[in-house]
Amino acid sequence: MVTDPILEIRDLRVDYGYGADAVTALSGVSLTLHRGEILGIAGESGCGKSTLAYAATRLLPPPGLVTGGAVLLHGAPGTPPVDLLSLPDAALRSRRWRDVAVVFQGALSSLNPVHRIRTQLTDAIAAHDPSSTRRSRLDRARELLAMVKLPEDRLSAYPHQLSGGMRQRVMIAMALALEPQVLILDEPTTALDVVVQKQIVEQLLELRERLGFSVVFITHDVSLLISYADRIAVMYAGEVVEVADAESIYREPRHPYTHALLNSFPPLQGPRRVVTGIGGAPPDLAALPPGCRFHPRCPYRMPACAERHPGLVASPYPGDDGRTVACLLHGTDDTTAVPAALAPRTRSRSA
Amino acid sequence: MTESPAAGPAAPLRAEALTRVYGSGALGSRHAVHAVAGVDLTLGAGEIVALVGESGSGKSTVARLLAGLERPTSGRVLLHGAEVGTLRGRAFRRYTRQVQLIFQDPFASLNPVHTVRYVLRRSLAIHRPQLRGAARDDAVRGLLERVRLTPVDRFLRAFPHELSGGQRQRVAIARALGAEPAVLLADEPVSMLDVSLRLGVLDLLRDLRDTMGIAILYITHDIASARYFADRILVMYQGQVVESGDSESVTQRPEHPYTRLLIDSAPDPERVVR
Repeated sequence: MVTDPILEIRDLRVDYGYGADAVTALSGVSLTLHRGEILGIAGESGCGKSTLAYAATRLLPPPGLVTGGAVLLHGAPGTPPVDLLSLPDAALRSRRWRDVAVVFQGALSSLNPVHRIRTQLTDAIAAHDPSSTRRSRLDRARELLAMVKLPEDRLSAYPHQLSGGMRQRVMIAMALALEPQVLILDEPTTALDVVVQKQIVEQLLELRERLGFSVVFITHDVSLLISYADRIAVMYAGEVVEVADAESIYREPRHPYTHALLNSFPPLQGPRRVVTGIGGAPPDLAALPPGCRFHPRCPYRMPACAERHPGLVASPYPGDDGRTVACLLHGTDDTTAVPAALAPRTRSRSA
Repeated sequence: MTESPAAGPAAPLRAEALTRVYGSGALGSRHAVHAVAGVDLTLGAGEIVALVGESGSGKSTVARLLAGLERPTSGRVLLHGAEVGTLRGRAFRRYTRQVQLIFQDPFASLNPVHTVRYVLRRSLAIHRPQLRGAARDDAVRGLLERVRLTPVDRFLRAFPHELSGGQRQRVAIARALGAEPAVLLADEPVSMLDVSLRLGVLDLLRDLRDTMGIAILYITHDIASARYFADRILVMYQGQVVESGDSESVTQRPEHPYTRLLIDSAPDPERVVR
């Protein structure tokens, strides 16, 4: 299951603003996307998940500033990885969209309202592949629309003549224009109805099977990720607090925030259980609490949580291979301190 | 808890064959859009009814018609059994005292230059002018306590931008409660909020129903939250109610193909993870 990495984010740090007024939006995020994988990033507004997408692709607008870290893109086996953050501008421009493409949340604001879809698709190809001919660009645009199952006559349409779902499909087509290795999706379906959302996500998966790109899927909807992602990273207040495969996240969350987040979605099937949401308010990045950033809202907090900041470390339990979690509850030798809801399934049964 | 749909003529709010046509008003005209086409709906006392549908299904138009912000092309709205006529001036104000609307975006629905105290005092000044001076201030504090924005003093002087989305929506709910309404029309009240805060707001609304007997129409695209929160669900599609019933039957044994499609499309971990 574990294959070689294609995109490695190492200790990425981002500030908004400068000097004393700077607010840290990402404080040392490390994540690895493997070849062919769908990595889900879940979190609420302000957790830094969109900042991560922009920073990793060097699209972060001022006053956002990458203050540290590396984003390594691995090419063919044997060649050394390239750090996107230290690439000269010209080299970045020639690689961008060819290696890593992004689909942003607002499809309406991402498309130019005064140009036809045809122009926008062929422009994107021309910008990144100047050697292409007019004819080949148009052929490619047709092919791309067919790929996202839009009729060819939509090439002549303006964005306002398309529905929200069709516009998002055009954005996906545009992102796939140069056959990128990595596709970053930032809340791609949030503005869409559930029926359309399902169609688009499943279509993306189908395209991934066919074209073999890897996906970073960023969303606030962790239930969507559980259905479609291979692995999920949960973010809170500018940090990754837990990483595990999708099923483990759902079945046995280790971090109290992951557990609480899952409990914020009322179930549609099965018994009508009581779900609670999370008390308190989301963190203010300008005034983060000391110690663990989640501790003011955490039902399982201990005195130490207000003092020590937990790092993202390997989960200590057997069978948790490859899982990481940032929570003091799991670090101690005293395993009885671990609440049943966050403990490994088998042991909590026997206990 | 679920009351019979036919809760009698005295149901706080009732719509009969509600229809709203946009474009050319003439029925049958080629360009007319039937946003709402013959919707019957009863909101019993202390009942929570969810109106579920996708964008363009007409659910928000139903809210606007019930709130008196628009006139139906045909059909009628009855408040406590009495037909609601043309709403202007005083009649409109009398009506809004009974039927309050909560909007989707609590950033847009609260004036950014006014404090929470000002917003709530305005609501009381308009709807309960008999409260003056200290009595009005006490009522403001009571409203904040009711929506659990405590300690009250911290929130009185706050401006909307100092509050989280959930807190802002609570202020909007407190403002609506200032009118002591019989009915709350909540149009996607939690869809703009962070997922961890949504249930808190829904639980607050349910609590208001339990303690004050307010009837709530919950308009949403999220059928899972409708199951969690509402007593009954009405599913809307292209301006019509295609299925209705108590929340459990509609979500667990959907009969209409569209309801089934909605349920199949909603992400549901239980179904995927074996």
